[in-house]
Amino acid sequence: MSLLRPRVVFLAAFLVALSLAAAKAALATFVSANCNYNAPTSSPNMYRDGSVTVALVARYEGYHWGGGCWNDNDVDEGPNEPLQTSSTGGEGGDCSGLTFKVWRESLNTGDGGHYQWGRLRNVHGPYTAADFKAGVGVPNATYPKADAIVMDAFASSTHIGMVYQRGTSGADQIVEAKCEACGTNIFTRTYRSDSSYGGVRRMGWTG
Amino acid sequence: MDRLTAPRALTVVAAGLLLAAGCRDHAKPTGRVFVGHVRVAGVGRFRSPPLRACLRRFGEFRVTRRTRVVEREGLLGASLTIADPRSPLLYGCDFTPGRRTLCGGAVGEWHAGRLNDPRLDILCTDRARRPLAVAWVVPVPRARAIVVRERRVTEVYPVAGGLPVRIWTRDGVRYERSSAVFDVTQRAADGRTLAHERLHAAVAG
Repeated sequence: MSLLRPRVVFLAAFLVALSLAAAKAALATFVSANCNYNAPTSSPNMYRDGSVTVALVARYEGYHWGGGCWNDNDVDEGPNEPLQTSSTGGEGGDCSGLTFKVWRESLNTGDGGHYQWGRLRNVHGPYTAADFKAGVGVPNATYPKADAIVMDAFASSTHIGMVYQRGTSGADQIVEAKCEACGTNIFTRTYRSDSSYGGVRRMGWTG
Repeated sequence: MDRLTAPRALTVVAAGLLLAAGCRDHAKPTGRVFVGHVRVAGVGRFRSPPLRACLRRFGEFRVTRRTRVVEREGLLGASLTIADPRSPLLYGCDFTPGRRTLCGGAVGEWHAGRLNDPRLDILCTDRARRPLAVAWVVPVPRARAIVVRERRVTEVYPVAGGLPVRIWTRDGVRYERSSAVFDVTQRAADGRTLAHERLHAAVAG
């Protein structure tokens, strides 16, 4: 009996620790379990094709209001989040967070340089869609919609999407983080002819 | 912005009395207390340079006779909140104190007394280039003042115009995370605390 007691105590402690670990894992969000706050890598060059590649990594990774962190497994690991709630820590960017990362911008609004953010770097950036629309920040400028090409953007006061492929019949292929239900993907949109949208260009492309 | 008008002065005095009453409550102000100025009017009554700058920024906004403007001037900065019953959107512009230049703004979805999000703006800075954060708080029923506590100062924002109140913080900014935390207390006319929260807001959308 006296030999059994330490074993029972150990087993009970083990089970308690196991259940606590399980509870902690259940409470962890995608962001808390996977994302980091590492510094970006500065780069002298920035190509539109390279930014397309950055955008395509985010494709199928979901949508998160105020978010900016995703992996590359084509699965939304934070689905069905409450609408327009940033605290749930789900996977994916929102429209302006995706644009900030794809356009490789600095947190410093006066810095027009190019910064490669890791896909698991949780960063949204200081701009909303309305800020992009107004051309706020040194790297961003308003631009005629008719002249918008690949990786330029169309922004309204509440949304922004980047041109993936320019269309010929008034509709473009837009890569965007649209909403919780629709995620991040390429969609056919008529933002170019929509008066609530303006053209925005990231300045400083190498090619 | 404009000079102190009689209604605005009354608002300031009322807010000061309200805050003094609130000093008995649990959310005690810290350090210096600053009561912000507020003015509410139809858009036709304002023709100030800040309003012109704000309307230029939001070119799609259509001014009507029913457009309401709430103009605030506080310790950390000034703001305009603009709403029109025909628009589902609420517009805000933020201005640096003293310099009175447009430094940030926000657009929120405003419907039936609900705002989709605090619509955080972290683009403004103080004179020492430290980032400031600005967001809207929706007053709870019967709230007459929003009190925001900082480490060394407490700022009081009188509720006005039936619109969300645009509040500022310097201490709560988490710039690297594009977010901010505001220590917010909502007070009734008799100084009672109606609500207290640490409002976590993130740049989004």
